Amino acid sequence: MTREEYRRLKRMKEKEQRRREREAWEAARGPMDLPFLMLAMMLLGIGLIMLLSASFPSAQADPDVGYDALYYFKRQAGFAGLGVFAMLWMSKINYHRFEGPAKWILRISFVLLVLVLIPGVGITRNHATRWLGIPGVQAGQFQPSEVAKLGIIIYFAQSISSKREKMKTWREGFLPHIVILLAAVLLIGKEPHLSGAILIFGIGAAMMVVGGIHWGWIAAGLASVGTAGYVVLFTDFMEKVVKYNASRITVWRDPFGGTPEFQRDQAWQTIQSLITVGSGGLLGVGLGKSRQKFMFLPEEHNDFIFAVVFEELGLVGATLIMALFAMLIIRGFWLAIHARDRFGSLLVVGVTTQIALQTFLNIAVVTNLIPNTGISLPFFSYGGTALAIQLVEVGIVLSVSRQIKAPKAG
Amino acid sequence: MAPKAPNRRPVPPKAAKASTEKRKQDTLRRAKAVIQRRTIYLMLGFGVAAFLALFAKAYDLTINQHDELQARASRQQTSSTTISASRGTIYDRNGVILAKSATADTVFLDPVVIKKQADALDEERAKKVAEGLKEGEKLPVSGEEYKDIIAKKLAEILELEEEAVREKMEKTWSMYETLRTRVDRDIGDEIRAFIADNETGRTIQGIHLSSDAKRYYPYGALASHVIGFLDGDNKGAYGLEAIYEEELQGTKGVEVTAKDANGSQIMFQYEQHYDAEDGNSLQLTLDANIQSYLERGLEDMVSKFGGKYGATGVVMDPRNGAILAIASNPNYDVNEPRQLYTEKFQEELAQVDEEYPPEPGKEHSAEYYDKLAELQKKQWRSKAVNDTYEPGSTFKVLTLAMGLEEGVINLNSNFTCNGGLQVGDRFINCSNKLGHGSQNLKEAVGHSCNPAFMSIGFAVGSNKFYDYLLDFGLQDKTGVDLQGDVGGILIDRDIFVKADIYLATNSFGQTFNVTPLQLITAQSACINGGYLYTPYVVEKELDSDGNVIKQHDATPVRQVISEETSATVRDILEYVVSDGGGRNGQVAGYRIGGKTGTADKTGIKDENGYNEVVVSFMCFAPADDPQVIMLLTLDTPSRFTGTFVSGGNMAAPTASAIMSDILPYLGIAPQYDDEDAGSADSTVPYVVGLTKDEAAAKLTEYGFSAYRTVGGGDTVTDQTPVGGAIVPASAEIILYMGAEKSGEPCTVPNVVGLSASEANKAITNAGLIMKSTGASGTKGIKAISQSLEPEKQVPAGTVVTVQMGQTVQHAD
Repeated sequence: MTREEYRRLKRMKEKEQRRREREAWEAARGPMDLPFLMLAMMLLGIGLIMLLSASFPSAQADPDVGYDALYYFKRQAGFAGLGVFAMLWMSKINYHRFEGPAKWILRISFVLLVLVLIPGVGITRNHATRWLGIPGVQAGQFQPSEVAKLGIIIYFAQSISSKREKMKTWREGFLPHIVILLAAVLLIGKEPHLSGAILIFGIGAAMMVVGGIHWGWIAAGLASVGTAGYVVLFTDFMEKVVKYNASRITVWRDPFGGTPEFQRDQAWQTIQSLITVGSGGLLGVGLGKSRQKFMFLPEEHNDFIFAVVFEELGLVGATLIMALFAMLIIRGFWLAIHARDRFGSLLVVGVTTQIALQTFLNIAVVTNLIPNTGISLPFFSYGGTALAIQLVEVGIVLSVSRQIKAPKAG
Repeated sequence: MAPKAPNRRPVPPKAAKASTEKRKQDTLRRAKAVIQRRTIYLMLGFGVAAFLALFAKAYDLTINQHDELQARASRQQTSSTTISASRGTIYDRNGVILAKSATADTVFLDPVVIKKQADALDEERAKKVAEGLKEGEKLPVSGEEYKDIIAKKLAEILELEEEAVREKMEKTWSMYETLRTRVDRDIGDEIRAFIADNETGRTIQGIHLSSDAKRYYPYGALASHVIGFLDGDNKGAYGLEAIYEEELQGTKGVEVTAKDANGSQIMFQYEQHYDAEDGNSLQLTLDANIQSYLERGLEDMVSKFGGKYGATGVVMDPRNGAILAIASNPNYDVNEPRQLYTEKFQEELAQVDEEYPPEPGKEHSAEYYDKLAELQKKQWRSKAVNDTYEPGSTFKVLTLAMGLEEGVINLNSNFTCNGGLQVGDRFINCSNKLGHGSQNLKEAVGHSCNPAFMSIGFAVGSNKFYDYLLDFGLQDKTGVDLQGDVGGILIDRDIFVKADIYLATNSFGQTFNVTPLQLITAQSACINGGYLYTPYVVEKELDSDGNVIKQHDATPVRQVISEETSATVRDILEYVVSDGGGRNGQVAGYRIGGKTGTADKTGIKDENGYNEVVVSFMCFAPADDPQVIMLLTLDTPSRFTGTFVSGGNMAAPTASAIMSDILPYLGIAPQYDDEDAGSADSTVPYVVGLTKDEAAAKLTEYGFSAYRTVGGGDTVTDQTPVGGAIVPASAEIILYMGAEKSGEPCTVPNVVGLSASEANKAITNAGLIMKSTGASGTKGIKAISQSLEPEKQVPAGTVVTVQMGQTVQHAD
């Protein structure tokens, strides 16, 4: 076979491959999953309303935004609009297209994660170096850790789906994935960005579990995470041995204990969040009528927006919204189960796990179920890039959902 | 789920290839199955378990911990600005303000800051001296001068000693030295002006003013025991101020002020603004005028007859229980309730100060302050409501009513008194030890005969009698809306019914205790048709816009005796005043009913071995249709005033004087019979320029029958009293017929002890005019007091008011 012939053969094979893919895609291209779309859109809508309610007092008092009460709302709504377009566009794309460049996406993610740590390159805010982009220019700045989440999801989906039964093995199934995951966690933790690290670890671990790693590893993983959690949260290991100022954990244990200074400084966020949640009671003080958002509650349009939900809508309203989240998550996993192939399943598992983890951790922080880690709430918290990426991920799920075969008509 | 994709393309029938393909399909299927199974675990974990945990925690916070967290929220959200509410006003029944709030300032010094500023001035001065002054420049005042200027000005504005201010200023370890609390707003403004603009040439730091509300009581001591006063926190401490605290104080308003991260405050125009709600006002049943008549009367009585433990008076409308006036003597000025107002108390306190000298550096000893607190409490006690006493003969009104109601006596009943009665092993004296002999019911009541009343009591029977005591409300609290309402102290029913002695003594008002208010409430029931009312002082509660929020409901508690019985009681009590032992209680022109009382305090003797007694008098008018009832008590009068100690001699004339003010004030018109006509007032006509006959005719027309002329002219050139003066019609008018009116003052004669006609003669001869009040008639009625002291020089034609009455030499 000449080289010429070989190339032609290869081109033909590739052409044939693409043709088959397209045929398969077109054959299976059903409608996207409406329940998942509707739930996501409802949460986006409610999230925008709550953002408006939560953000106007501080916007109104902030010279940096020109005392524009609608400043945050307008920006967020703009990003939501863009994000919905991106989502629809993404839902039209055959997700198998990501299978090929998965490795490259992961490599780029790591390059960015390393880049942000190089002094002078990353942008530092509040003692944390998490952003890349042009310093001083808000637009176009982004967090490499957000990219890395997507990178890990796509790469793991590709890699795990191709490993099949070999996922059970140590050499091919467990080791490569855990190394990549821990590397990403270390890089993100170095920024420092604790919640990002926890999140990416959780997503990766969930995908590995679903992908079929040996039960032994799962057990070992659960045991070690559990032990570490216990030691950190319930012993004085951090203060005594690591000599780490574990004020977040002290606050978590007893937010209202401690000196007035302690309550005013370290415990302020948690105390205010608890007061906000608790003062809502069963039915809340009414939409828009939160008092705590008037500068008492810090980060009220960001990490603690759900506290304002509790205060304004009460336990009843907040539970309804939590129920929407739960339905979205359950529907996401349902789509993963019904996906046409393992790659699609794993993509959806990754995305859904991300939404689930972020929702749980955020509300758990707001109610002081866990120590304060500083994590945002999907669809609700202020943050344009993050919202756009979430919607793109929803688009990926929808794309997968389109290839689910319709149930046979009776 | 998802069965393997059916292979549509024909597969070459090669077993090996088929098995490879099948194995591949199997592994694919198994891998997919693993993913599906494990995804279900994630679904359950993230979609269900996680949310259950969140819900449980959220439930705990929003429901279980809601109150506590809500309280914290309110505390931090409302901590900044409270808008104070204005305290409600207290009005009398005619809208006269008895208590009102206004803004006031408390002035205090910060000696630390003052010293700092003084030192800075000294420094500056030294520098200026060293550098030399530029032209036109003045040397700043020195630190000492600066302090002097401040001390002098503050002392002047605040009416303090300059030394005292200076002393406080030198307490340089202190940052807070109060100069005066709650001065009027204009004084505060004066100080504010001084701070900004003064001769030191700079704004003075270290003088601070804080504004709050001050309570004003325009009438000072008037009704002090009813109104009460506030404590240092502007909360009611005593009296109505205390028991209506909630209604009067109002609700403070709140303005939510938000804090930013730096703790600075940002105000939002937002709905979190709660207006202050001003307190409600009270409209009382008290009448400031009647209250002042009553208090003046008590004052007179105590100064005339002494009163070791003070005196009380209650004036009530018997038709509904509304208290028109209630007073206890001594009283105090509610504006400064902590001062002692009676000499006796002041002396007692001074004595303690001598006995226990203060430790060095302190103003007074601890004992001094204990004593002061004790005396203050005594002074604040409302004797008429808080303290019980043995009522004595005024109680006989009730025994009379019981007897009539039960039908055991009637107007024809006959009683024989031999100066006492044997009850069991004890002989109980009548007030008149010689005995009253045979008497009908009216006379027995008129004599206040103890044996007669004991026999009425026995006729009623102890069980019935005790029932009446309870029905008249003598055991319970009256339910009055005044502080410290107490019930009476009766003998236990079980004991009471066992021995006659209790019934006997109770029948004439001894051996049990009631408050004056309880007694007058029960007496009201005896004369108003039989209805027992709850006495009260707050007629209405008004909101800040003047809308009536609450109105007293004057429905009687119960009917104790019948209308007929009540009418008979009124009739008999009118006889007591017109012809019996209560004659000193008469008021010219009015039909008065009443009953006197002189009650031994069982078993209590004074330092001279005399029984301590409470003398009292109850009266009501008009006797046929009572509109006002009054009870006066005087606790332990002096035995050495020359007046025999009895209710008839002491309380009744006082009551007569007070009633003669109250009745015309209430618009009850006097009706004079012939005997009384002379004491009715008339306006002297203007007769100058008329002939003697014309003048005489005009005088007669106006009700004046007596006149005399001075001088021999044809026409009247001058007259005494002048035209337009209002004097008793019995007055003699002097007509000057050309003669000069003498400018000489006249000397007031002493008429006490003279009969009415003798007194009138003496006073007229002196060139003055007599107005007689009190008892009328001739039988034993004499002048018992006069409004102008004897030997006093007054202009001719001045009216001398003479209180007529009768002094009896036995108790009643």
